[in-house]
Amino acid sequence: MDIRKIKKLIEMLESSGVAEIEIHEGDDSVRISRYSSQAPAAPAPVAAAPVDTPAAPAPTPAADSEPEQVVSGHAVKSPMVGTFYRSPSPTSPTFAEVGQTVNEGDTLCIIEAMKILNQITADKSGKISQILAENGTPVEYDQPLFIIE
Amino acid sequence: MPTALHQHQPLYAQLLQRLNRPQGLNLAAKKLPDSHSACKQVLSQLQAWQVPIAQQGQHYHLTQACTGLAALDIYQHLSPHSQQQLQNLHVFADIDSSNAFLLRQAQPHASVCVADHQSQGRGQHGKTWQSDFAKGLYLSFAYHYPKPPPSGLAPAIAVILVNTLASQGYKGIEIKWPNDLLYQGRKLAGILVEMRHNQQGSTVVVGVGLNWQLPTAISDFDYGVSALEQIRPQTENNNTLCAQLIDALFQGLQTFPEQGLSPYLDDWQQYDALKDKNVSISNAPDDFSGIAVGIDAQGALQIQTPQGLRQIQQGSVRL
Repeated sequence: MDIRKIKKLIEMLESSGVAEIEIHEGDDSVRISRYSSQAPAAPAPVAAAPVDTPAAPAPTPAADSEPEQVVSGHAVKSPMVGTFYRSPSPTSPTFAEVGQTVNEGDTLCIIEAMKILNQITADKSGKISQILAENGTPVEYDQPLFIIE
Repeated sequence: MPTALHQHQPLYAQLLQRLNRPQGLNLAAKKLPDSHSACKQVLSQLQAWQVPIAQQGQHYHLTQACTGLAALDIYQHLSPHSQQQLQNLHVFADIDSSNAFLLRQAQPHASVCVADHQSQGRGQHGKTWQSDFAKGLYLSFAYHYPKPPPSGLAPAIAVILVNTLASQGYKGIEIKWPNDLLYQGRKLAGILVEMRHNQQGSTVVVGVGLNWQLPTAISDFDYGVSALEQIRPQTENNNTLCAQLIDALFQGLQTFPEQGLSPYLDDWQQYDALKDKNVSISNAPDDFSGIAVGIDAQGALQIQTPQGLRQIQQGSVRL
């Protein structure tokens, strides 16, 4: 999504009485809220699920009354339950780092599930703004792993 | 569409063929398959890989027969079905890793990569797979599925390999969950399954490392090494056995989305090296021990513990 468009949306929100606005555009979506949260809570995934993931109930976000954080960008989610690895082997460099520009199809991480090493690729080109899972830890189905801006 | 055959680095095969003749190879001869320096370089590389080459001045010969894999020979031994449907057959004298090669291809569907030597052979958990020149088969098979396949592919592949080897007279091979083949408790072969997911579906790359002969120097193995030559003297050509494994893997990969693991469960029971044994599990994600009681319909290992039956999908298993 164009950054100028987002800026315009913020201006619109500020000049209006609206508390929150959410826009979907293709695979992208952005939600802008008036209330900025003070605690750096886990960013809520807002991107639409990649088209090839089988339909499953979306995980309900941790029930809390905290206002939504402003999150933009595209979330790359885990297509399976498994163990998250950021590099092909313990001694090799990571596939991706925050700030790195990636192309669609680039490998971002490996998820080991049932003894199969699954390469998870970027489904969108852009810059990685956040990495949301720890190397060597279990991840859940549909858990956001990377945010690509 | 017929299979495209790719014999990479053909100079290795050409020189090995000459080295295998009784008169060996004379580098001073007029008719060499390539320039003197190119031939010299390949010979030095083969010596560095401890291929048993004796040298006297410009004259080289093998002290023990050693042949590399040949694309045409493998192809001629494939079933008519594989000959029609296999897209690419890549044969390398040397590659970093046959799995990595196929994962780098844009459209690797129904492609096979085999190599005589791997410089960065890979195993589970980032371990290396020792890949001595022509002492083992390093085979990778890529197959594309429009949707992610059901679970249990790694154990199914293990059963397919054991069945194929048994049909060739290599009996008594067992499987240690989920993807090691053992002979008399020592490692004969390993399987590494990698999968690449994108919008177009899932491309699976099955890698098999199988020892024909014992490696020159054994390093970094948890429980000893075995080789096909220890089961029975090898009478068939390596290319023939390679073709049979390709046929079996092709059929297994093709039918897996519809059939899943179920057709392989009975055979698994028969080959299960862990059955009724005391095992310790680590990183699954906790550590515990119990008695292994086979796999479930998804391929997870089942462990009987004092707290009840537990299924594990990852982690390391020790006897």
